[in-house]
Amino acid sequence: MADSTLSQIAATAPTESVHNVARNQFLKALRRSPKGLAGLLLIGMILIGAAAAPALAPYDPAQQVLGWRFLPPVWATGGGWDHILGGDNLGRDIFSRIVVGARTSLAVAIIVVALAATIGSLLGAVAGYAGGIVDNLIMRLVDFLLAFPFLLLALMIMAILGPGFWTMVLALSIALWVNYARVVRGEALRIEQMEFVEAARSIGVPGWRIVLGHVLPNVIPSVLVLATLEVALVIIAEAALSFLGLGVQPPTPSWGKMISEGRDFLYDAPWMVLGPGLVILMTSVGINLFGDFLRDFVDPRAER
Amino acid sequence: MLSPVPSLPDQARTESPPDLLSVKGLVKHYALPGRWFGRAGVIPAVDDVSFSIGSRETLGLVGESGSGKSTIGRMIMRLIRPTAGNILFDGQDWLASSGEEFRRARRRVQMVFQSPYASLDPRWRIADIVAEPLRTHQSLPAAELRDRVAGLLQAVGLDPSVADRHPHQFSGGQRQRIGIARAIALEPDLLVADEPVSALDVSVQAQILALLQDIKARGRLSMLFISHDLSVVAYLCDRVGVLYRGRLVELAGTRSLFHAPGHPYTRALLAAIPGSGQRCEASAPSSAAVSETGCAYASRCPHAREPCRTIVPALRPSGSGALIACHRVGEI
Amino acid sequence: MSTPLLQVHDLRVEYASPRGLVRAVAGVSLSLDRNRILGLVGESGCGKSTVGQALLGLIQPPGRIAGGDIRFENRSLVGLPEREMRRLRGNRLSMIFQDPTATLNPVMTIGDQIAELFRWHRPRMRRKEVQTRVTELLERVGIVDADRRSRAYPHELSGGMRQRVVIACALALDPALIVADEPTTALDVTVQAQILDLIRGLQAEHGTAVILVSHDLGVIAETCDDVAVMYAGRIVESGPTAEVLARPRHPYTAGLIASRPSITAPDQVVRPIPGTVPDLANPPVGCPFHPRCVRAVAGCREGIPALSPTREEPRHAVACPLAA
Repeated sequence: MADSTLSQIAATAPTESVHNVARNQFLKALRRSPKGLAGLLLIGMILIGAAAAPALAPYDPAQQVLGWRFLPPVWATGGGWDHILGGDNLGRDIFSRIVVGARTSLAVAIIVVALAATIGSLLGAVAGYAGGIVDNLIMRLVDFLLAFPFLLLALMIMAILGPGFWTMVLALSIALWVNYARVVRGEALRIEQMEFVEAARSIGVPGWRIVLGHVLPNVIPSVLVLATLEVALVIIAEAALSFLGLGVQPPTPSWGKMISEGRDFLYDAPWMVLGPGLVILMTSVGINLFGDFLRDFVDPRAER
Repeated sequence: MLSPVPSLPDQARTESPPDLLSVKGLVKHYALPGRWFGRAGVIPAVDDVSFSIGSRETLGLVGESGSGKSTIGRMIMRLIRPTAGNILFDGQDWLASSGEEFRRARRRVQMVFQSPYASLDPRWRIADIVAEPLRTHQSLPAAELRDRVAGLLQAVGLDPSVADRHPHQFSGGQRQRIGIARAIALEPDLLVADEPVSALDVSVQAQILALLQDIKARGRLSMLFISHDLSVVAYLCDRVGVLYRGRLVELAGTRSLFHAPGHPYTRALLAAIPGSGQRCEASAPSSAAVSETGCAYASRCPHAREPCRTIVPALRPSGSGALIACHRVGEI
Repeated sequence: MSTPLLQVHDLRVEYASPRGLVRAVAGVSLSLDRNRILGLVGESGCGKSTVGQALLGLIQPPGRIAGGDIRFENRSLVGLPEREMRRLRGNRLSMIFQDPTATLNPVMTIGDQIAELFRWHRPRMRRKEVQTRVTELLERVGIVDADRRSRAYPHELSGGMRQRVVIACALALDPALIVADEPTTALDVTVQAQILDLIRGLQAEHGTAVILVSHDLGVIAETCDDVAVMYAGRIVESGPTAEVLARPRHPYTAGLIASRPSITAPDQVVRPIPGTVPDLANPPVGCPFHPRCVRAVAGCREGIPALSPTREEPRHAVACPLAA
């Protein structure tokens, strides 16, 4: 069994082989989970596409050719293999724009979610564990931020900080961390009541080590679920901000921006929205599936 | 074993045993929140409780839910702050010690918890759970730590090869063994065991009782054993304190308590044990209002007379050597 | 002699689990007459609660009744449509659960909760009459000032009082059989004694048959006429309570008794049963108890011993060839 090999190896050589074993376990678990595999496949495709964008994109995404305007995709009459997904209102190749735009969209989504989840979880765990005035300060700030609609909040922050990629990342993170803080605080309050936390306190484990060692690992599942749900949200939010001219500056493409540009031509050229819409769907489905698998994997109670 | 008083050798302590732990006038009040702001009143969860535990002694605390027995255990563990009262541990003011001094003293008092499920972090490996106290208080090289964990697991009757598993792979009884291994890792002088067997099956309960008995016999451990189960207490304890609504109503040697219970509540408790062959003394429904003054048990007590409803009885020595808090102790 | 009120023959209940098929009840037969209390005793996972649930048709997927028969008042309950079963449940058959707090609806007064039973099963009963019956029931379970208390919400009552209300619900429609699943486990010792007294008193008064499921031999000894000891989904010993507890034949029953410290003889050493309860997805071959049994011999690994009467007392049956 995996357990006995684990203990044997752990007994002979320290850390290095433990990592190997952990990786093997991960791969083994992945192989047994169709959900995880499918998710990883989807994410992998999109990530590789984004990484290899310059080589993969058949045309310059900014190149405008009059004859390509509203060019139908390959499956519609008038379309051709030259432009699989057709052309947009300015005569740019949609497929190229999606491939190149993946970089912006994914970068924003991943950085924002990671940042928001980290800040939010830490502050939430501290609030839940410490209680009292610390809890009150953090949670009143959360209440204050939650009083504004998410996008409006991001807009307000950007209005102060000015436009640009990094200010957008910052604004979205500030607008999003509150969700994590709330979820994690609730979970932390629940976990704090558990006897294993009391046990750690009765042993004399310092508070910060209880938060890092006991509270945070036990809230990871909830954070993962929330994070996978919010990736798609961030991609769309990026579109809204960029549409208003606050985020990514033209002509750099992004999926969200492509959708908002295509909205005006929904009846005449639905493919302008279809392509980017599909990849956003693929990404969020992929991340959801993989997130589900990851949640089961980090839970030692799940049957393996 | 580190002792805060290095000048006192072990022998000196065993020859003239001063109390390892002594609790005086312990009180814990919980505030009842008012309708809008402030407090509507207080609930006395623990009210003026005093007792002591000698070296190598096991004291049982029994009582029903809400009697304050777990609160007392948690106050001794300093997980809850008492409203009033003193706790002396090995002659030192236990509640006043802080910082490094407290950290060093802390390891001498450890706890076994009730729930074999909630008391172990489901995400930790057994080895890390048992090693947590060692990592917190000592910095041992990895190899030595591993040996210590293996030794502890063996001491509680588990195969050391289980060290890399997670709690969910074990039964309730095995988990409770892991919790005990963690509690004895620092070789404490006092073990506070809060209902350690009540969540277990009968046959497994006996295994854990035997293990605790064994640990007691091997070391020089004192124990505060908190339970609602009188037969378990009778089995394991040298002396027993009976709690009713936050007050100690009787404190006596196990044998005398079970053979000649002095307080009417103790008698009712003993009679209520199923299979004891005795029948309950007529006791009024438990929801009867508790009188604000006087003996808390007066409203249920068949022997209650006038002083019982007005004056709180103090814990006094009775003829048999037991301490009993009852106005009518000689007459009934 | 008339046929017994309840006859269970070779009942099997299975659950599908990720670890495989769990045979929670693996062939249980028992019979119960009117006016008797039968105790089902065993440790967690022995199948005692599952038997109780099966009697009331409460086995939910992924569980299913895989075989056997339950005859109650001369009709078979296995395979009875849910509609029919619902008409019986709470009416001819009722159940008392372990946790009264979880059983009662927190946003309904206790009077309304009992009245609801009448509205459901006795739709033609008039409102006035329902009200009198509710008050009467609450009085019967020892709730003083019943008229006023019927307007109380569950959280306004103590645990013992709540369990009395649950018992009133179970009694409301004069059932022929009550299954009480650990009815006193969540209660304090002194309250437990009161509730057990109540159950026994009401049972004697109405001639109701009761199945009392418990892990506590003391509770069984005090309350039941007969007892069936369960282990790993099977009955390993059964008979009149006094006889079984005084002269246990099965090593498991004996072990259960010996592992309980006694307050009358606290110096007596408790003798734990070694090992743990078997995994029912992967039970041991042969007698399910043999891996933990001090008396096990090679033969115990071959075949599952059947429950058969002992020579001295035909009502006392044991599933151990070494003991019979």
